[in-house]
Amino acid sequence: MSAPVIESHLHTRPSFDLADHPLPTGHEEIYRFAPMDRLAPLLDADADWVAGRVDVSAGPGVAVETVDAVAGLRDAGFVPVDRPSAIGAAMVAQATKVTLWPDTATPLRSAQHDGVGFSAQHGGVGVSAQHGGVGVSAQHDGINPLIVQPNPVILRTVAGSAPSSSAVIIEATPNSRGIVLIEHTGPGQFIGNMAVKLGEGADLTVVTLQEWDADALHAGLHQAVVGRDAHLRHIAVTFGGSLVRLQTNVSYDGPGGVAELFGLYLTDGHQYQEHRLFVDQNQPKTTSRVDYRGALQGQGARSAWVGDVLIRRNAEGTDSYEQNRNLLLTPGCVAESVPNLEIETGNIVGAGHSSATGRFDDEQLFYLQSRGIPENEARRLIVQGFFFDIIARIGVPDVERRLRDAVNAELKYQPEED
Amino acid sequence: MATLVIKGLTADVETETGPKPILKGVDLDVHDGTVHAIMGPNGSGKSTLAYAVAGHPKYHITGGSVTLDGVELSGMTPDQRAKAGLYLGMQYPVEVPGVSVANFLRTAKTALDGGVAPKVRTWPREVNAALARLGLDPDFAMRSVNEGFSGGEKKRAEIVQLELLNPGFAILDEIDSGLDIDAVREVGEGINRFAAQGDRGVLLITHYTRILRYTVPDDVHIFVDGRIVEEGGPELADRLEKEGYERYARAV
Repeated sequence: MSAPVIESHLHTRPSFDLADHPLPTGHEEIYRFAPMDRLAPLLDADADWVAGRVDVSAGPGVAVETVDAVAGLRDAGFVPVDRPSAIGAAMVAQATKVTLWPDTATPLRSAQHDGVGFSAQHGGVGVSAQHGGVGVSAQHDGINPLIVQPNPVILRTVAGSAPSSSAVIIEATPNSRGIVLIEHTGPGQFIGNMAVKLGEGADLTVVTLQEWDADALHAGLHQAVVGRDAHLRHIAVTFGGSLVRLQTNVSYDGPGGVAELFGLYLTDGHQYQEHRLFVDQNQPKTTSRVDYRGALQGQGARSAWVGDVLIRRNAEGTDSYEQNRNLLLTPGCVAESVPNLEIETGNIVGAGHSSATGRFDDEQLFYLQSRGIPENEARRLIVQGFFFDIIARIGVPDVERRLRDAVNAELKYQPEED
Repeated sequence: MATLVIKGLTADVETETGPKPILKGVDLDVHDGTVHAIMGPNGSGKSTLAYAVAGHPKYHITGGSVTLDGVELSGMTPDQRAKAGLYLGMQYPVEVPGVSVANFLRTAKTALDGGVAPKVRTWPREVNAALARLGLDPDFAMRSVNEGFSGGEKKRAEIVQLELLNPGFAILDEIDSGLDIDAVREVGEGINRFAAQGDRGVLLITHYTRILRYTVPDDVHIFVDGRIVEEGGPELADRLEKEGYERYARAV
């Protein structure tokens, strides 16, 4: 986009050129929390990166195609902001592009059926396996066939043993409505670049699920451009992986845009999970809400949340709020939480932030226990509620149900307290 | 049958400067089928008595005993005390965001019934009926526990729980505070329905006498400075209404 360069130490200079993103030492602002030894494979441009497979399941009225990665990402307003995203963009020739059209909003059919139909019609589009990028498949194990919604697009990254990277472009054309689920599962080292572009009046919900195997490494950059009066919901759910570092950036392409960025993470003892948000309020009368919730448990569990909001001089009448809350379930956990707010104009409706990190509330535990609920069950209920509270704000019932199921499945395996 | 016997109970509360003794030897027998009221000025320790008996982690029993039907409660976790038949209606019910009233009630009922979940066919109807008796809509069950409830809704919800969980013995701590006159009546009637089962015990802890107009106690105990200083029938509450606590405060 043509936005002027940001003069702040918080931001890097966006560039496709790998030379503009030299190997970091760990002292840089954007790497200050990350364990550099564990991140190292994702910073290594000399590794044998392969194009990761992306399986797409989509209904009618949704176009899935393969496009030139750099050109496609650039057209959608995407520019790498760190070394992993630059490596990913350099190593992948083709991007999977998903385009949502407005007429898909009317018929409510099941994802499974539509997926079959789409596959039969357009099966030739996707070349699966190592080099192609897009495999269009009818249905997958584990995808909830009960999701019934306007145009449920499901993308599954299929990482293998080799370091892999994928580029995804999601374009919601003017006045289209849609939901896109991105599922990250399996082992591996993965760099995921995703551009999201919302045309005027579009309404798009993007859910990215990080349900990786315990040894997986994942660096992701999601950049969204929200058009005039468009509404983006971006929900990041991180449960798995050894290291997950997800950067989500949002800017606007006209006034009246709304961005709601929600996240939830459950960080176990062996895990490092970092969520970085940057909302560039570069257009007047735009709105953003950032709300991330994390629960950490086990010795050495580490999470980082960095939320940046920049309100540009021209962006009058904006309304922004960012919040992060962390629940430390056991001793030995560290949650970093950094809300940053840069304001270049005071003519705004609102700009706020809050951050709170704490242990279990003894009063909540006592209240539940006093009703006969055993301590372990009470703790599980409180953590479930902590996440459900934010899920309830998404406002898309099918997505809410999907995420509640994911939280319940995750909490079932919560280790017992000592 | 649910009889609470408290003998020589002493207890500390945790404070920033260390443990502070609050209960200084409480003796009290509440037999099943009776309603007792504990009345006392602010800061007398009557809420501490409720929390110490229920097992709040900030209150530590340092001496004496508390038994429910002969079972010693001190040393038990709060949920074990609940399973033994104890219920504490709280002055300030705690908000639990994201946990719906319906889920909370079902989980509590299941735990109290030894892991047996309430019947799907009848339980929602029972919940709705209990809500309706306290003047609450069925939608109330979908709200997060105590979150955003008005003062009156919180206390009504405590009585809804009392009726649905139906313990052997209920301690109700300042259940009438913050209520308007209609709510006091509805809460009082709820307590009466519970007590009318005949084999339940009730200990009402209150600062004011107005709840006692709806729920008439068999015995009234005056609580000052961590112990019971006077006992009598309902007429003792009437006298307090006229004279206040000043007489007792001077005696300390």
